[in-house]
Amino acid sequence: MAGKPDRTELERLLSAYIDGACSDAERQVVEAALKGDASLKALHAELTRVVDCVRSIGEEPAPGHLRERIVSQMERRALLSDGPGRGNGSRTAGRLVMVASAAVLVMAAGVGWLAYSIHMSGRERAALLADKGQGRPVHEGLDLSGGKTGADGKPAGLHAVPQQALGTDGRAGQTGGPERVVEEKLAEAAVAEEPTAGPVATPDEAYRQATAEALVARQVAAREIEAAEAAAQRAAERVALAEAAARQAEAVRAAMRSAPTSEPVFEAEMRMARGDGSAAMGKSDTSAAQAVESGNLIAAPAAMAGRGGEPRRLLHHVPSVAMMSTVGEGHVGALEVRAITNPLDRPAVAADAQMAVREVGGRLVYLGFGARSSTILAVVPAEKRLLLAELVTRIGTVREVTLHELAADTMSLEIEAVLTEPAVLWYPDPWSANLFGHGPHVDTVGTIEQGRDVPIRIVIRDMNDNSGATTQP
Amino acid sequence: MADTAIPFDDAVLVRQCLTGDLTAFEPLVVKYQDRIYNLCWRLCGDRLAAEDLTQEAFLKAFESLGQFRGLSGFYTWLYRIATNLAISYRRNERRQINTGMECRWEDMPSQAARLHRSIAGDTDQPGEACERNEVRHLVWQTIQELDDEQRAVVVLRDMEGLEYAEIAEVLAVPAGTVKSRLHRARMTIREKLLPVLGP
Repeated sequence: MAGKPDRTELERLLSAYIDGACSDAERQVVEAALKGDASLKALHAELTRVVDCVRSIGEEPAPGHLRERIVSQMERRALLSDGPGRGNGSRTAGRLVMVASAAVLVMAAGVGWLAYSIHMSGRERAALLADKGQGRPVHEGLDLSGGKTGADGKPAGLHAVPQQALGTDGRAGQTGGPERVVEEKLAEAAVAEEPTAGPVATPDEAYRQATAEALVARQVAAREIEAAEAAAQRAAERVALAEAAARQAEAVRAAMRSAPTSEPVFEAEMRMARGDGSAAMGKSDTSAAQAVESGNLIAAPAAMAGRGGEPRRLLHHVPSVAMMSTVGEGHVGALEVRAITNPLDRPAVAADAQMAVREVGGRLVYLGFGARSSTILAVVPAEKRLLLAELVTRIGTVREVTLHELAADTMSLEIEAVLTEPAVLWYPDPWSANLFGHGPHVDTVGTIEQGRDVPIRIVIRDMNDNSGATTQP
Repeated sequence: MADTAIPFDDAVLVRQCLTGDLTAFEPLVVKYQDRIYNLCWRLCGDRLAAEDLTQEAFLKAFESLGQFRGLSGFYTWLYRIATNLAISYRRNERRQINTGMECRWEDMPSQAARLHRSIAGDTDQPGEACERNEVRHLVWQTIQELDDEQRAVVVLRDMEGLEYAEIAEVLAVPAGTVKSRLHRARMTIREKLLPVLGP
């Protein structure tokens, strides 16, 4: 530290000091100042408490479906591109187009060069032959449109083309048409005549050289075209696969989006008896599209079949929309929610739920029973704080649920259920008890054998009655 | 947290990803999703948005993996992406921030889980637990009211536990700036918390 720091600088150093991020010199300065400055010491204590408070805010795990969401999106994007770190998929197509374009240009240049060479050399050769009085102009012997030869059947005077330029079978390429005729003529000439060597290139030699180079260029172009076509074919196959996958995914999403209007996918009927004697009926507008957007339906399809807490999540989703939009504080009554669901044949969400809504001690209390969600829910919004209590976590499969009339001044709920499988386990839940202040307790009554139809009657008595509930299997 | 359970080296996984082994990225997601989710939640103050931002951060990292030079740690780089996304979200959206107490239905399971954990702790008296929750709520609210720059340093330092140098790298500012912002942020929080800080 250069010189004694002022008060502001000392205060600023306090934070770093608390974090152990001071240099030795800074630390000594701060410690010396703390010894002689009571207000600075108080500030140090307060800032330490602030840091402790901030650190005391806990963390929580990411939602269970998040990893699956991320990975599926990642795979989707990877499918549409070349993989990680390579941007979007349009680059692949772009590269292929460039390769194909380059190949076409090379081929066009080759063919153009060939045609030009033949044309120009033919004229020179015709002039040469005319001077020597040895026959017809060459171009008369080269029928570029039909493969016909001259009257004698041979293009007399044509000189040889190097054999290596024509390939092992003496052909320059795979294509037919005029080029093929040229090749045949040149091949015949190669057999008929040996090239003459000379230190100075004659017009004939120049002609042969140019022709050979043109053929080589065309061969190169042909090979490049072939490679480009193969690459394009492979790319097309990949694109087709990607498109098929995208179509399939979109079909699923579209089906789920359109389901609320065309086919019930996630529908809930509500009946609510209000405390003032009025009744309300309606349907939840929890649409499949919303569910898709929220990720609840598609995030964990396997879980929908009945694993873990996912069915409860689905069940929450239906009454949450219904209750929050239709039940206000002060209303007393019963809410019956019947979810008619068939999203992608997932049986676990074909759930019935019945909810009781009561105002108890100034608090609005919901008690709900999800038939196939295997859950009794109690939701207590008090002073705008919504708390969720899960009273019973596992009850097996319920075939029938009846919600009885509620008593006027007590918080009681009777549920009759027929259990078919596999076992029922009730256990006391101190958390719920604490949540409500007193009961309701659901005592452990053991298990019911798998496969037996056992009617049970659950009575959750007055919440202020700490004697708890009775369960009568 | 999941990061202690996954023994893979980040650099190895990143290299595998770059050679086309897409499955190598999933362990990175598993390893860091909790941290990134919490970071985004604390920066943007909204759980649902935090989910989206976490997803976007991972996807952005996945797509930009070729630009990752390995000069810093992968998680620092990932933090940087997530922090920028969260701050941009906050600036752009200007949403009503859910402060956690007036929570929505979607928040309830996790809130219930926290409550369950809280109540399950048999050393706490209900009154004390309630009071502590009030303080935490106030702290949370105060942090959410900080400006983006101050909130970012507080979250990265006091909640995520990053060193000053790492914070400087994530936020692309000098370490001295980190110190200054952090002190100002703590002083702001202190001012708000004075009535409840106690001795």
